[in-house]
Amino acid sequence: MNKFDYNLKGLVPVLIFFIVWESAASLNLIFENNFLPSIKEIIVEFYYLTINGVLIKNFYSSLLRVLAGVFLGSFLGLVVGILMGWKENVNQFLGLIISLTYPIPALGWLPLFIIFFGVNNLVPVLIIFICCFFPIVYNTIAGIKGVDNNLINAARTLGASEIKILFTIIIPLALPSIFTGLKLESGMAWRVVIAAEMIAIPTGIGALMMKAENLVRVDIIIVCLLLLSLMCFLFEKTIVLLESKFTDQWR
Amino acid sequence: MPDIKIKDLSTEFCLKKMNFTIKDGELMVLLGPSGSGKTTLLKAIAGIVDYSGSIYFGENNVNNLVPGKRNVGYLFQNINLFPHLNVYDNIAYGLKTKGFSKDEIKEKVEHIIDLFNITEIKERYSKNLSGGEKQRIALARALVYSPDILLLDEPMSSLDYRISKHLRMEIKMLQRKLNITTVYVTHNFSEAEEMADRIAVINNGVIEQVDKADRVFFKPKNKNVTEFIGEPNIFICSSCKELNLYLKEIKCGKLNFVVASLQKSIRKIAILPEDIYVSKRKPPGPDINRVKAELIEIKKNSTYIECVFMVDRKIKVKLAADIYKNMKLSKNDTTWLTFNFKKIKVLNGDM
Repeated sequence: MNKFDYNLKGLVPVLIFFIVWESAASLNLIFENNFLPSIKEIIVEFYYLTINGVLIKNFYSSLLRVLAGVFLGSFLGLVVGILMGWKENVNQFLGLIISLTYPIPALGWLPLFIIFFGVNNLVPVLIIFICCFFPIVYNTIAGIKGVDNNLINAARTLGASEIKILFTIIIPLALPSIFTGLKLESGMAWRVVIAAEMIAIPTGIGALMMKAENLVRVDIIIVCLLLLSLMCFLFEKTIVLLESKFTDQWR
Repeated sequence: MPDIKIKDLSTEFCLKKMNFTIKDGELMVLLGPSGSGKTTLLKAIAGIVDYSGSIYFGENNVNNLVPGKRNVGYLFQNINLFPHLNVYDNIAYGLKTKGFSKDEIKEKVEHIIDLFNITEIKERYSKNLSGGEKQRIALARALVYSPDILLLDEPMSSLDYRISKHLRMEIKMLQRKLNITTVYVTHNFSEAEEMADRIAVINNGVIEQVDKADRVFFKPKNKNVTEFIGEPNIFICSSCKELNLYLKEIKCGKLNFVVASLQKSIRKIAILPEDIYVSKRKPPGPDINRVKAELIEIKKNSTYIECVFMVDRKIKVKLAADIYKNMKLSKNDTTWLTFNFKKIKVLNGDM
């Protein structure tokens, strides 16, 4: 079954949400003074923000940060996770330091990084890197260790070297677990970058939202939120699509 | 093909100083209860478990060879097809690791796929295969690179009777054709009897007896062997009359039997206690392979009841507890014993 076959049932609550919103906005149910913009106003604002380049510029810088952080974090997390899952002595060597750094929230590093590196693109990328790295490491270790030892023995009797077993048996069979880690982090990266931009970085979607708050531009804030929701959704679905491409035929 | 010599083989938890030789081209069955060490011995031969002592293939000590260099084909009990590879790639895996060229791989895989009649399913993945298909593919995977030694671990355990019968014949034929030294693990005596050139009875990590099937049956070496295989009632024949080519009528004291055998003369027959039926009234039908007997002793056991009957000699019969209860047997009852015709074993040759 294709995972994109959402049945129409799921659209009903979304529709209800928009209807309630629209009625609340046009009838001024919650606030007076048109505090809550209507859907139409949102669309118009979205159009203006796109045309004048503000949205695209900020979105672009957020997107680049997310992509760089996710890519670096996933890649290094994958390498470390594979080594730790595969070789017990690497696991013993790195296990403690990883267990100790994992509990620190990614955003907790922010003040430190700003002092060390100043306000620039390196900071959000590093924060996203940290937030992606750990889930990938842990899920990769779990996936690698979860591979049935009997299959590894079968590969051994068939003449495969340990490194060949790693690449042809262990990693392919650990993919479902690795993808679970990727799914977790792909959404998380967006959440973290927005938080970082809201607090400290003067560009990006998060910064745009903070400026909109100062000007009490509820419509711009809502445009940003919708965009974020869409991006998290797209990132997660892309990973799901990749996962099913690699694993559906045998799982 | 090399023989396999096992010298003082021990493992940490299981095997205790095993010594025996599996001859070149022979099909040796390892027979024993669960946990006796059959699979561990197989794994030691393949090199996927740590052991002390030595294993020789022919003249070569293989202790220091990694599994892949021992050139054994191993059919695992839980089959172990790689779930992420399709049938073709599963079979080709061993060839790829051993560095065959692309053309050779294709040729060999296609050939064995043809031989095993699995062309139609070669693109499938393990999740879409039946138990019998998986078993055949695993066997093909173990044979495709022409191993010197074939190791089969309970290859029939996951199959229903009809398919397993078919596959047993296939394995036996292939083994003869390739003349490949084979070790076959099972806990089922009739399977062992059907497949084996010789049987090695294993109990508790020790080889109790290595012998031809009917010698294991008629001349079990010790209590551990009889406990596992069962202690048969053995009858010495005083005369033998040929009814036709296949059927012989024999006399053993007061008892008369009709048995199926191609032998001209029969000296001994045997039947296991569980293959004799008991009834209180004379059963209908022709008076063949049955006798009137008196129940002289009842021994109760947790799972079955052992009854000893008297004709002109003692005959032991095993009854399931519920059958025994329904029949309301008591000591000194006169009953009829019927011997299962198909289960009467005739001793081949002399012993």
